[in-house]
Parts: sequence; C-alpha cells; structure tokens
Amino acid sequence: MVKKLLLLLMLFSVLASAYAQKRTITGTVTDKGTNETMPGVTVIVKSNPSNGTITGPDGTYSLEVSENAKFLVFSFVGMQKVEKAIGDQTKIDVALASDTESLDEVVVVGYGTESKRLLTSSISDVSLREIEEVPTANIDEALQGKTAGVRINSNSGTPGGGISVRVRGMSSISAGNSPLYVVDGIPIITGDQGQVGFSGQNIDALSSINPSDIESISILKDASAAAIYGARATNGVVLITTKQGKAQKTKINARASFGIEQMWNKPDLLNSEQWLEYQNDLTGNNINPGIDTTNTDWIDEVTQIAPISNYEVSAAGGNEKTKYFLSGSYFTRKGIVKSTAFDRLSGRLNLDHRFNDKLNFGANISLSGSENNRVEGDQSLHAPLAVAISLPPTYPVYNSNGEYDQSGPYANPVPIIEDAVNKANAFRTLGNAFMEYKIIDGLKFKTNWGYDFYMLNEHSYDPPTTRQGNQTNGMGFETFSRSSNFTSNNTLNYIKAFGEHNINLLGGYSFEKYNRVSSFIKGVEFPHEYLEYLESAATIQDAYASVNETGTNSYFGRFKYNYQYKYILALTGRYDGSSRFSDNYRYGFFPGASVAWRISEEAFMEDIDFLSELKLKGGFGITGNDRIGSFRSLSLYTAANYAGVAGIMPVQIANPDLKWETTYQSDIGLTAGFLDDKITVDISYYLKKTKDLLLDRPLPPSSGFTVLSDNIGEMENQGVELTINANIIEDIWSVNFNISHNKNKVTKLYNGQPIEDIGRGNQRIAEGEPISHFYGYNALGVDPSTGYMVFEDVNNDGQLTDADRTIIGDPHPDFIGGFTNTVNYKNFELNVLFQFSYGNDIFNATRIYTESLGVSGDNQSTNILDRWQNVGDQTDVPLATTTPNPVTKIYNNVESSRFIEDGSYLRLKNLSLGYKFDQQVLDKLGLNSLKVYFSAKNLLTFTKYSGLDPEVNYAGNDDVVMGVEFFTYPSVRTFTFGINIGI
Amino acid sequence: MTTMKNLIYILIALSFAACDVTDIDPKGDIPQDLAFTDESSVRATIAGCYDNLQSSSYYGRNYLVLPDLLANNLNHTGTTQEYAEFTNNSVQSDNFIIDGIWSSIYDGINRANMVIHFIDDAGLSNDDKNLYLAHAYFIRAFNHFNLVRMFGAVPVKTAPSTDPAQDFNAPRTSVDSVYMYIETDLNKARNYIAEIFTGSATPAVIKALYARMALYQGEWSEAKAYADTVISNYGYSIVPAFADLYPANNNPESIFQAQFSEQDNNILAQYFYPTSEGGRHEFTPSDSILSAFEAGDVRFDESISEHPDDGLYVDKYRELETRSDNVYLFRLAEMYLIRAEAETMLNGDVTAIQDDINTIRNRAGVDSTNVTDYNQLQELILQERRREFAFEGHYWFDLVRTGKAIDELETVTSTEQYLMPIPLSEMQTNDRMTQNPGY
Repeated sequence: MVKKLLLLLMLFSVLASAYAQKRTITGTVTDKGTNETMPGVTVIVKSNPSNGTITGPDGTYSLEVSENAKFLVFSFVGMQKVEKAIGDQTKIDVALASDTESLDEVVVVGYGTESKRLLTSSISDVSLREIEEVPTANIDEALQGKTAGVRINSNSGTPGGGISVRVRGMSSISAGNSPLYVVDGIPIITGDQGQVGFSGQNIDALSSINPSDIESISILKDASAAAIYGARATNGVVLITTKQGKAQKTKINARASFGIEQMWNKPDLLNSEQWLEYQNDLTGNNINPGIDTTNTDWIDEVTQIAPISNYEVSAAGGNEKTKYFLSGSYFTRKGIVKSTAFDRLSGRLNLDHRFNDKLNFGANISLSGSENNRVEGDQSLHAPLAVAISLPPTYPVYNSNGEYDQSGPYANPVPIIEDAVNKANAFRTLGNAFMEYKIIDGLKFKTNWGYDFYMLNEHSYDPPTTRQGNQTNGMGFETFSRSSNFTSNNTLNYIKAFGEHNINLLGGYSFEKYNRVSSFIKGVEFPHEYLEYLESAATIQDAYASVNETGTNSYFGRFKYNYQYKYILALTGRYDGSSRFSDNYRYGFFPGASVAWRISEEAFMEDIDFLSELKLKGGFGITGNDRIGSFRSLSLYTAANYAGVAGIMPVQIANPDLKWETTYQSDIGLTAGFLDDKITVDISYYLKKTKDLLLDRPLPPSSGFTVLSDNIGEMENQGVELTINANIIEDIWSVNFNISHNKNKVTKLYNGQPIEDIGRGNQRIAEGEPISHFYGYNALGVDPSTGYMVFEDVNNDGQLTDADRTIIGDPHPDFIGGFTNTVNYKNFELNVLFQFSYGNDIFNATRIYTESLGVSGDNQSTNILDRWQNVGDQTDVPLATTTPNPVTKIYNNVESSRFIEDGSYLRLKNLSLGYKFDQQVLDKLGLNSLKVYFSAKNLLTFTKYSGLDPEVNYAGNDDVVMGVEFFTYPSVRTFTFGINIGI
Repeated sequence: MTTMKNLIYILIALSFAACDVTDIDPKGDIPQDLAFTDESSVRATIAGCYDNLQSSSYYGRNYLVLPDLLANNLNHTGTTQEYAEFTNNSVQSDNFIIDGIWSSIYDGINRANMVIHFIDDAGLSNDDKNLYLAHAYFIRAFNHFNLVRMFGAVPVKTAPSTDPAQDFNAPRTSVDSVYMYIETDLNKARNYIAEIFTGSATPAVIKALYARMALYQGEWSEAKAYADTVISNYGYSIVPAFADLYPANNNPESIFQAQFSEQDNNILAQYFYPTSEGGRHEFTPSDSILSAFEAGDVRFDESISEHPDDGLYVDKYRELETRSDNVYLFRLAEMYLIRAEAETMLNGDVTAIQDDINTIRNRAGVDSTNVTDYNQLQELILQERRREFAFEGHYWFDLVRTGKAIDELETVTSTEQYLMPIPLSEMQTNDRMTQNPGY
C-alpha cells in the first residue's frame, strides 16, 4: 500500500517538475485602433516585475517565465494597461487600446494628436459624450462650465442665437475676440452673416453644426499650442473632431427627446391699478385707480411655454479596411417669445478607407439646413419683448373696432408677433477629403482639402397692421449671402524613436480662400397684407450687392522631442501671409516654444507612491489676430451716388504699414496626479501681452477724414486656471471642478485718450483699466428731503458735470468656473453641472426706462412702489417727476451706478438623470443598450441680479459691449425627457 | 503599383502648387489712382462732391434745422437730447451734432480739393477740365461759406488729404480772409460753370451765392447788383401759388436744390411728422413762429399743419413714405428780399423796396405794405424772411448778421453765443486750433 502511494507521489513530482520548468511566452502586440504592430511595449510578469522585456520593432516579444508566473502585464504610454492570464498558453497576442481615462488620453492638437501626458501646452479638452443628453442648438453652449480659462456667455435666449466665447480674456478692441473654429482640420465660417438688423438677436453660423456629430473638442489656450495657427490664434483655437467609424460590428443608435422651455424669470411690472396710482402721483391728477379699466398683461401676450425636441439616428461600424459614421438628425424648438423658433435638419457621413498598409483616404461630409424665425431684438422700438415691457397696462390689445390698438406710446407687440414675418434660412455644407500616405516607416504625408459653404437667406415682412409697416404701407426685405471657405492643408509628419529619444517632426503648407457675396433688397408699398414677397412691392427702395474676398498662405512646422518620456520640448513656427495685410507687412512669423518635465518619472520620485503624475510645464509664443478688415492699408474711393447720378468719393486714407495685432504669451503650469490618477490637478498661470491693437487714430476732421486705422494700442491679460478631476468612488462617482481668474488691463491707447460712451452702458476703454468698464455718475442715494438722486461731486467743484463721471463698474468676472458631478449607481446615471460667475457687474439699462419715474412714458417695474413720496422718506428709489433736479439739472435716471448691479450667479446648468436597462431586458428586446433620461437645463439660478438674466448682453457677441441688459430676451429653463436606443 | 506611386507623387506636388491666394483687389472700392483716369471718372468725382450735400449732418437734416432751432422757430420735442442744446442756445463743444456738421462739410471740401489737385491726371480737354474744375471750386466755396457763417474764423483748406504723414494742423483763417478765398474760388468758377446733371450748379447759382454772401458781409451795392442779375437774367419767376413750392420740386422759382430720391433719401419728413403718423415729432413749431404770421398768410398753412392728437407739426417736408423731399438751397424769393434789404440799407428807392417786398407778401396772400421808414422796412424784411423761409435754414443767420439775435431771443445773452463752438474732436487733434470765446 505504501509502495503504491510512493509511486504515485513520484509520478506527481515528475509531472510537477515538468510544470515547474521555465517556459517561454511569445506573442505580438498591436494597436487596437490601427491594427499596427507596436514596438517598445513593456511586457512584465505581474508577480515579478523585474522579469520583463520590450516588444521589438515588429511588435513581437519573447519572455521566459517561471512556473509561478500567473499574469503578464502589457503597458505603453497612452494605452490602457492590459493584464493577461498566462494559464497554459505559450503564445499570447495582445491588442492595446487607447487609454480613455484621465491623463493617458489622446488629445487633438493643431495638425495632429498628442498624448495628454506628453503635453507641454495648455489645452482643454472636452469629450462630448457626457453632454449628449443636453439639448443644445449650438456647440458653444455645450462647453459652458467645462473648461478652465474659457468664458462662455449665452447673451440671450434667442433660439439659434450667437454665444460669446472668450479664451483667457479679451485681447482686442476692433479686431474681434472670438476664437478660431476648426472642424476636422478645416477652419470654418462663424459669426452672424445676416444683413437685416436684429440687434442682439444674432444668427450664428455655428448653429448649423449638429453638436451630436461631435466626438470631442480641444481648446488651444496658450501660445505654444495655438501658435501653429499663426495669425489667427490670439483668441484661442477650438478644434472640433467629429465622430468616426470603428472597425467593429455596426452599432446603430437612435435618440429622441422632447421637452418644454419656459421663461425662468419674468419682469415684475405695474398692473393697471398701480399704474393709475403712479400716474396720479406724477401728474397730480386724481383718477380713481380702482376703476374698472383695461389691465393688459403684455408679457403674457407675447411669451409662451415652448416645446423643444430632437430626433437622431446614427450608425457607426466598419472593418479593417473601411470605417464609417453616418448620422441624421432633426432638431426643433420654439422660443419663449411667440413666433420665434429654430429648426435644423442635418446629416453627416464620415468615411475612412484603408487602401493598403501605406495609403488610406477618406472624407467627412455634412449637410444641414436650418430655419430661424426671429423677432426684432432689444434695441428696436418694434421689438415685441421690449415693447411688452414698456407699454402701460391700460392699453388694450384690440380697440373697440376690433382692430389692433395703436394708441399707446409704443407699437402694439401683438400684430408684430402675429403678422410680421422674419425668417432666416441657412444651408450649409461642410466637408473635407483627406489622404494619408506612409512614405517610409515613420514618415507620413497627409493632405486634407476642405470646403465650407454657408448660404443664408433672410426674408422679412412687416404688414401695414404693424406700426413699422404702416408707415410705408408694408415693408419687406429679402437678403442673400453666400460664404465659402476653401482650405488645403498639406503636412509631412515624421515620428521616430532613437533609443530613448523620441521625435515628432511636422512640416506643412496650407492655403485658404474665402469668398462672400451678398445682396440686399428692400421694398415698400404692398397691396395686400398677405402678399409678403418683393414681387408684389410697388417700390424697390433699396437694393445692393457686394463681394468680399480674402486669402491666406501659410507655412508651418513643429518639432517635438522627448527623452524617456520625461523631458519634453516642443517648438512651433508659422509663417502666415494674408491678403488683408498691407504690401509692407504681407507676411508674419509666429513662433512658439514650450517645455515639460515629468518629475514623477524621475528615479527619486519612485517611492512616492501617492503621486502618480507630476509634470511641470512652461511655454512662450507669439500669435496674431488678422481680423483687421480687408484693404485697410489703401487709399480708397467708394461709390457716392447723388440722386441717380453715379459718383465716387474718397473714403479712406492710406496706411501702408498696417499689420495684424500681435500677442506675446507666456504660460507656466503644473499637472499632478494622485493615487494612481484617481485625483488629477492642473494649475496654470498665464500672461498675455497684446501689442499693435488696431485702433482709429483720430485725425482733425478739417482734413476731410475723422480717423486713420493704425496699430497703436496695447492690452494685457493675466490669469490663473485650476482644474481638479477626481474619481471619488471608482466607477461610481467622479467630479470635475474648474475655476479661473482673468485680469484684463488696457495698457496703451492713442495719446492716452480714452474711448468713451460705447453702447448703452456707456462703457469706456482707458489706459490702466480693464476694457469696457462702466463709467458714469456715482449715485449716493436719494435725498430724503427732496426725493431726488444725489450724485457724487467727484472733483469737489460744487457742480455736477461730465468731470464728475467716474468708474462705476467692471463687467469682467473675478472668477468663473464649473462643477460637474457624475454618479453611476447600479442602472442609474446622474449628471449635475453647476456653473458660476463671480464679480461681474451688469449695467441694467432697462431700468433707465422701467424706473424712469416720469421721464419716459414706459410702464414701470414694481420697484417704484417703494419710491420717495414724502419728506423724510428713506428709500433708494427717487420720486416720480418729469423734471430733472432743479439744482443740478441732472435727471434721476441718468446713466449712473444706480443701475449697476452685481451679476454674480451660480447656476444649476444641467441636471440629467438616466436609467440604463439591464442586460436581461436588452436581450429580450434584442437591443444593445436602452436608456431613458430626464434632464433639466438652467433649473436653478442663484443671483442677486434683479434683471431678467445674469448672462445677458443686449449686444450679442459684440467685441466691446458686454454685460449690459436692455430689454434682452432671457435664457430659458428647459425640461426634457429622452430615450436612447442602441442596436 | 508604380502608377499608384506616381499618382501619389503628383498629388503631393499638386498640393504644393497653389496660386497666390493673397493677391486680391477690393471689389467695392477703387484705389485712389483709378479715380481720375478719364472724363467719366472725373464726372463721378464731381457727383461725389455734390453727394456730400445729402449728408444727414448737412442738408439731409442737421445743418438745415439748426438755424431754426437756434432762432426759436422750432422747439425740440423728441428723444435725441443733443438738439435741446440748440433750443437753449447753450451748445457744448462735445455736442455730436456740431461735430457731424463740421466733419461733413470739411469732407465735402476735401472731395473738391481732390478734384482740383488730381484732375490733370485725367488728360481732359481744356474745356472739359475747366467745366469740372468750376464745379469743384463752387463746392469748395459754398462749403467754406456755410462753415464761416456758423463757426467764424475757420481753417481754409485748399489741398487734399492724401498722406497720413501730412500736417493736418490747419490754423484758423480770419473771417475776412475766408470770404476772400471764397470769392477767389467763385471767380474761377463763374466763367466756366454750366449744368452737367440735374442738381449741379449753374451760372445763376454762382450769382445767387455772391448775392447772399455780399448781404452777409454788408456789401449792399454788390448784393443789390447780384440779386438784380439773378432776377432779371435767367428766366426764373416767382411761382404764383406758394403751395406749389412744396414738396420741393423743379419749378420756375427754384435756383438750386439738394437732390434726393426714393433710393437716395432723407428722413426729414419722419423727423417732423407726428408719432401717430409714424414720424418722430422730433421738432415742433414754436409759439414764437406761430405768432409771427399775419392772418390769412398762406405760408402759415403750407408750413405748419395740425394733428388732432399730436398737435402742430412742420409740413414743408412731407414725403413720409418715399423719403424723397428735396431741400431748397436757393430760390428766387430770396433774391427779391436781398435786393429789398440792400436797397434799404443804402437808404435808396422806397417804392422799389416796397415792390420787392410786396411781390413776396402778395404771393403769400397778405396785403401790400406801405411802410416807408428805413428802420421799419429793415424790420419788415427780416420778418418776411422769417415767414418766407421758415424751416429752410435761414433765420438764425439773419438774426446774427443783423445783430438782432441778442434782442429777439431770451436764451441769447451774449454775442459770444453768435458762433457755434469748434467741435471737441477738432480741438483735441488739431494743435493749431483755438476755441471760440465763451466756450
């Protein structure tokens, strides 16, 4: 018996020893995304990390492992680490996928991509997957609160309207402050191409682009990142990448959402009784306020709760040869002001075909058509919302004849809403075709040709039932504009590793041609209110057409070097020539340089386990702003017709030295990752000095010209950005917090002369102060003995004159930021975004009229119920009177700090709660994924601001006028319910 | 495979061979050196000189209404606060309306100077060149005249502004010297001027300007002589019905008008008309002008109308829909009154004076006058001018040149208010400019 046992034992041990022998594991490591073999991948035994190797140039490896070895770990920068159980295999092939977590991500940079760990510049990137459920017409809206250093302001609630985006402050006075937008490598047409004036209710060409088609957005913030875009990079560059296909079984995604929008804040205006009481006070009459009189709620007449919905289908798939992404969507919303709406139908096809292992080519094509129904905006006497606020409640909508009552001091808004037509139709096709050719190993040639075509037609008609149309028996406009931008980018990219030296060399040539043709026709005298097209107009009052063309020619290059992925250097340069510049300064050179030191990779940092990443980076660069208008350097004559006789007149005096505005930026930052990148912190400081600001140098008007364009101004921005990302509970709760501070200062103007009285907020630009600060009388309060406003006599000369105007506010926030919480628990998904702005002042110019207390005929806000009425009253609202202060001769509602308010706000911007159905349910339904969700936008707003919305600007995306409310259309609160189906 | 490779190389090569996209010319403007190439372009630059008269700062509105605001013919009742400074005769140097007038008129002078300076480039025949030059000289003279009567000693500009490095610090020229320059220009123009398109100057216009200028300078014999020439020689006649004069049209009495059309329009009617009709009611007739008319004076009915809700409004500019009101710059009626005033100041033939006055009064449906005292005649003529040319941009200048402004107007307490302030924009940029006293 024992003998048998011993024999068995011997057998076992023999067998065991066979297994205890070392074995060799071999295999190939490939890139999951491109299927290319990957050299340099680290392969180690998990239990014995010193036993490891690196894949060879063909991606293969061979490793001898002991019997104890259970797992192999494959790792490479920028890729997800993969652990493979060895089991009894001797050949283990691995495909590594891009790391989508935090710092190991790949970020889109100018003309290429970069591993986030190896970044030396300041780039914010946003993956749009988190905000897929938020219904937005405009991409910019989706970025609010997500990126440090970028201030995004919605300006007004106009559907399809323009949004202000400012990267690291404002750097220009006359040459534009909006960033450059690039889609799939092609710079696109943005801004308001409309010609019928609508004040702040702009149309933005960006609203033609469907946000759901976007995979990610990178914002290049500092010079070393943006300088590769040279003369257009000062205001930052927004790089948009659209969704691409994947080599996988086709995934179909269908999405539908429906919701409602409402005006989250209504103005508090007097009703008829209060109005009559106030009129008695003002005029000394004694009409009984309680009498039964008309009490029209004009706001109610012109606003509504509006529906919003979005329908989308997309499909992505492919194989190793061909990948595609196909989508179609329909987005529609009405506005909270009746008769406004925005509809967009769009489609996209992105294709990529690998012809052979050297060549691949593809195209991204999108088409979109949209219709925007608008009403006249804030500043017009014929704007429904403005008029609804101003018309006293004692006027009826209809008079006794059943016609629209027009007896009030302002136009009746109801016929404007019911009968006036303002339609803007836009058609856009944006496409690019590219080809990539691998010349030799490591050297790739890429050519990318893009065409952006945007056509806008505005059709507008005011019938005689409206006050404006009544003047000319009907008034109609028809405008067309056709803008196209043709781009060619050609790059040679060389990526090679020489031992531990890694270089990435890029050289490129690009040219762009922009062309815009526009025409405008105005006609009057229409025979019938239903005939609204110009073919029926008896007189064509105005008709013209014009053309604008620009071209740019550029050469650029980038050299990126790193040693052991530890010491990183990046140098860029771009040589830009533009038709806008004068002959003397046709071309400019824009260099950038940055370095980074990944301290965490140093030997001395090895034991500090809690610090998974520590990187110090810094850079410097020069960028330009070329939006100085075309042909400003020439002496020009333009048409000056004299009642039918063709004439020309001198319109511009030459300035042959005119050039672009230049910004010198330096940047320093620290990136830290804690606890294996569970928490990552990014902090940076920047200083931007802009010189050669394009300003009008005033000339003595006796010369025949009042100004000469010249590069004379200087401005400075400096700031700090902090971003914290934390995975508080792995896979369950993650948080993003960002906060930024920017300080702007205008440092030089022509002869130190301030530019004053800009816009309705009387904003001012002066040396030593932030741009566009508010300037006016300093209101000290109401004199209890007289009821008149008391203003500060700043220079103590006993009089109140212009010299007593002083700085009364600053529209720039001290801090902006956002706080996102994402919680995944079981099947639930919760996403909460708070967005805030702190320290920005708003000039509430509406109150000049709604608290005019007799100086104008407008309806008043209920604030005036607190007005001064008897001697000794302590209040901050002055008395009702039509006259100015008898002593100072100044009106109580003059532009002063009385109307400057703190616009700080904290907004619960997005709240989204979703439920993902279980695999069981999915299997039963034969679906890949199914999610239902409920989301709210602008759900809560915490602010002290008394106006309609703290994100307001009546002037829309104006370069200089900001933070002023003037009967502006407020943002909306939206509730939507949606369903996502994946097949 | 080689064909594919070749194709690739071609593509690569092609992508680098781009045309020079930066070589683009303006499409809506022309560079200055193309403005004087032949007769038709020179004609266009002259049209550009006249076009300047349409500016809303000039005869498109502000220069036209200011004399009536300042002289209490009009009250300001609208929303643009800056006009109130004129009603109160306390105009500030930073008033943007004054700024606009100054800039606009000097723009016109610069346009004329461009023609005078560059016309030789066009290689015209002597006759053509003199004809176009005559128009340029006229415009330059007319503009300097409008400046000197409003601002006093103004810079005289005789060279165009073409180089940003030029010295733009123009010094003030004394009033007498300004008039001398004006006369020199008119002398150069008088022999060659002829109408080249509707609305351009004619020999009669030059004489009419001489007449008005002489009147302003107190040169009575000259004023009388020129007025007489215009009345007798050019076939103009007083239109029998005053009502036929408005809206301004091509009639036998009209010597020179600022032209407008529906496509090239002004908003004068909109500024005067009441809000219920869609206007701005920015200005209304003053109580003073209302009491200036005698009973039965047709000119009252034609100049002023009444709206049931909104009250009185000026009705000389009435094309509310087409916006095409022309503006009278010279009409024959003025020549009669100039002749009458000159004769009065020369203590001349009373009957002739009365005849001239009565031509105007009778046409207005008012009885003839039989006043014989020269002082009273002078006063009567002043009042006739007020009634005849109400809201046509005359009365302030009449009150100032006769020295009567300080007596007639409550709000004028010093002769320093007789001149408008030099605009702040000129004061701040022109080192040699000095301000008018009192501002």
